[in-house]
Amino acid sequence: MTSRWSQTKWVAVWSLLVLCCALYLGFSFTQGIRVETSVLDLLPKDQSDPIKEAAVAAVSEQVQQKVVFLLGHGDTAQAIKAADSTYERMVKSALFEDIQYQVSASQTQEIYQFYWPYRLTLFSDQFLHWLQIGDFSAMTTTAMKRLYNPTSVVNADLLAQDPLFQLVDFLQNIASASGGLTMVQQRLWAKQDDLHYVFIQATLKNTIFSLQTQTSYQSFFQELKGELTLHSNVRLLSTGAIYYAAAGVASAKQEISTIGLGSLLGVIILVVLVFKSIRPLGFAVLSVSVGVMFGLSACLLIFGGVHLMTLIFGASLIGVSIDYTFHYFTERSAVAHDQVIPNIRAGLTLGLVSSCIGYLALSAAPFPGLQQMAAFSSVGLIAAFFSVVIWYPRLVTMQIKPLSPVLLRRVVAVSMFWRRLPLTGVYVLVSVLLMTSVGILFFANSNDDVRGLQHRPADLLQQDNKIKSIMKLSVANQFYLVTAHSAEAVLAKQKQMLPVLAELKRDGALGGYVALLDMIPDASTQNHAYQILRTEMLSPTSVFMKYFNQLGFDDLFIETMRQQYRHKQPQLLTVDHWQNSSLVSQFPFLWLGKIQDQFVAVVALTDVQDLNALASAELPDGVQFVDYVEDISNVFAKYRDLVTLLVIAAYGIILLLLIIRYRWLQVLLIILPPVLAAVLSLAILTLAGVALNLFMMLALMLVLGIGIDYTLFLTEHPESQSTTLVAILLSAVTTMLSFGLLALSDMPVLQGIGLVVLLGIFFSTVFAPLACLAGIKKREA
Amino acid sequence: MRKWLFLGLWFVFSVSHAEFVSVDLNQTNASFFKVVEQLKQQTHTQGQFTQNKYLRVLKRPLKSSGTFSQSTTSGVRWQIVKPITLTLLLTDSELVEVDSSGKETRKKIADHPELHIFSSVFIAMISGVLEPISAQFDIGFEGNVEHWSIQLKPKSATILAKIFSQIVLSGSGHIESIQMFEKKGDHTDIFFIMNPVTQVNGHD
Repeated sequence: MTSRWSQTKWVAVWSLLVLCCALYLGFSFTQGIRVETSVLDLLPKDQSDPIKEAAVAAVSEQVQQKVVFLLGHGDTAQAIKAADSTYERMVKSALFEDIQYQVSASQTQEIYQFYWPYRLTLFSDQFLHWLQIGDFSAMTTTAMKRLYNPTSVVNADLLAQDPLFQLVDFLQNIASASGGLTMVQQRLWAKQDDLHYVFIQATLKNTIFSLQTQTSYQSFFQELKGELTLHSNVRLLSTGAIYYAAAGVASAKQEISTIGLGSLLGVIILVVLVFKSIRPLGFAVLSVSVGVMFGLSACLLIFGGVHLMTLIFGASLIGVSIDYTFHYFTERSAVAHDQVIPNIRAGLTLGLVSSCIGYLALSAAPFPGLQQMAAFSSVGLIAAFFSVVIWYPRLVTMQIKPLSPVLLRRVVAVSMFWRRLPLTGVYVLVSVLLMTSVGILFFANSNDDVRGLQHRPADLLQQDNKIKSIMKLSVANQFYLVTAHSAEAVLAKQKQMLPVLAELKRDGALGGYVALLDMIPDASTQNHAYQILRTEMLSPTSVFMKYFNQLGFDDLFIETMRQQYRHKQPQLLTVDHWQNSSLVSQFPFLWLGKIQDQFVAVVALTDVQDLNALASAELPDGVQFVDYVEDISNVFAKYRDLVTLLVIAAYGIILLLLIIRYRWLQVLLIILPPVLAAVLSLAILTLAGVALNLFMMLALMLVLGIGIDYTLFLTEHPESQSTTLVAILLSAVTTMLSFGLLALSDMPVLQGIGLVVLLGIFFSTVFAPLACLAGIKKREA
Repeated sequence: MRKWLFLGLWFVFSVSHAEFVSVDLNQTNASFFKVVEQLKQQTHTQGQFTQNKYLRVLKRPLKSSGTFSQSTTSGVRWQIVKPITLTLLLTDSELVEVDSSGKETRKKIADHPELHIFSSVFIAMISGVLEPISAQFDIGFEGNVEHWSIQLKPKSATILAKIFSQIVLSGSGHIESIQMFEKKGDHTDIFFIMNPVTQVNGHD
């Protein structure tokens, strides 16, 4: 056995490690910890298609950081006043890096100047059509309509620069794609129910997943709301991913504290009842918090952040690691101080190893969320284990009163239930239960729709929809991804898509689309149109000469005009020009640049009505329909199956380990209770009409991990069965208390986990004494 | 929450600008008041117009002529006969173009806010109902009820001020000409010859 000195050494080493961990965490907290909240962040990167993955990531990153404000008032002046003060506050807050509010004339000027050098090759669709059919007089007639229209603003400069108004026409063609907002007094407006809304959009500087950003944003927003409602009855509407992220965090915080409080209360009551002392509680808190500290540190070190789901799942550590404390104290109540650890070490170690195998199996899936949970849980459990094994013998100096004999007798009496039944009866009952449950599972439903799993508070959704209805726009979660070997080829492919898109639009499958091609026509279109125009311009009898003469341009001007067309090769507008301009920042998602030797662009869709039509449309090679909500749901489904397999695999490994130590029948009896509990819980949920999802399978993993602990402890400690049973009961009640509360959660994910753990642990406890059925005999080594 | 992809679009391609208007016509000149009243009471006018547009880069003005009619209920109908055939129907809510082949192009003001400001100014000038645009101009008056001219100078903060130096309406009883002077030296003159209208108002 360990000598006194080496024990002291271990205590010192472990204390030092804990101190380091605490310092690291403290440091991390001052730096700000990244807490992810979106269920999507749990997902694996789709390795099969890195281009698609990068596209989805780029698009969502663009979108995530955006916040939209609408300030509505019946009186436009009041609305402007409110918007101005909102804008000032936004600037002052320093939270935003890009606030789009007043559109300055210089912005319009900038666009004109960007396109100006390429004016000879850019045409609106209408002009292109006329060029192709050679109807040049239609072009001059249109220009004349503009000239003679008393309401059109045509000055000499514009006429001299763009005598056919082709560039103006091209730009207006793009602008007409805009949508429900109108520009008045250099601001964007929407109107609904007699309220005029001013539109402000901004991009948040720091990631919305940092708690710091969320806190400072929320205090900014509360102040803004307070000011606006105090001084005027302006209607403030706002939406953006940050609200959902913050709501997720707030709700999870509440959930975590609910579980925490529930567990704590349960533990306190139980500990006081069983041990007739509050002191074991202090030790429980100590080992559990060391576990949580190490788990969190491991996540921060390995993943650079932590996901909320990991934290919540990690809270289950309390349920598992507190077992160690309970086992220690129940044993302590029965045997001498220095006998405790030697007595329970084998059981604790086996429990730890089996749990870690389970978690390791989880992390075998290339699923960041699972890997995080596995790292958090296994590191946390190991830390809690060491705290109990190393610290407790030194720290627990007080006497623990023997457990109440009445309690022990009762517990044993209840557990004897199985033994009182005839052995064959038990086997028949267990087999029937098992088979019926498995049979029912064939009818199990699953629902992996990510929309059902995301936490989306009703008030936020309502605001979201209100804003959508005001702006008359709904941009879809779907898009077309266009890839090609060159930027030019991407544009050419988009051109090939146009008839298909037009048909989809005509059939009502989608409301509209936005593509880079709208802003940069492909080279062959530009060149072709230029050549036609050039030939006509250079001909002395051309329609254009007649037009110029008729208007009254002087000969010098006409000659200069024609000279522009003397080059056979025009200066074409290319994606490169676009990329190097300041305009690109306005449409970052339309052009994703080069990803793995391929050039990638997105055709964004609005008002999608018929997903099937969009997905099955016949498109050129290199164009694919991306529906990332559907993709994510599919990924969830895939991983639900994978986790199921992993659970089975983990059990296989545990089974192998157990065979080394125990006889076959005993192995079966150790494995059977948790398996039966898991299958039965799923069967009950199926009968109740609950659809299964990935997270419920994860919870099942937890049940199996905790459940096997119970049977292992019982098997390992036949001599102190009654105290072990008390420890198991204590841990089961604690776990059920904390996770049972989760079943009441707002978050669908947590609800599922709560239900599974509640049922699973209940049945694990009920079936656990089955492990003692065959007289316990270890295999002779 | 992923719906904000496209909002960037609006910022870039909103080619022009417009202003809200409010009613604030503070003129004390008695003659001016009478002229304005007179113009307002002509709820229906019609006649011929000639428009000369003087652009610096052209040797001669762009001349067009045709007929027009105006009523407070149906807006302005502007029918160009020479040198092209084009009919414009202007109301507060839309702009309709009908070309020689009868093809109609409708533009809703709500979708093309840039049209709003110019069509509203034009409607106001033709109809003589100046209140809707009075917030954007400093208004001056010369002459008497028989021979008058109204000068409209865009207020400095408005978009109109970037384009026009001033607009002069003149007439006797009814409007006879509109001259629009642009900052860069271009100008447009429109002359009207009114047809007698059967319904006569305002002269008791």
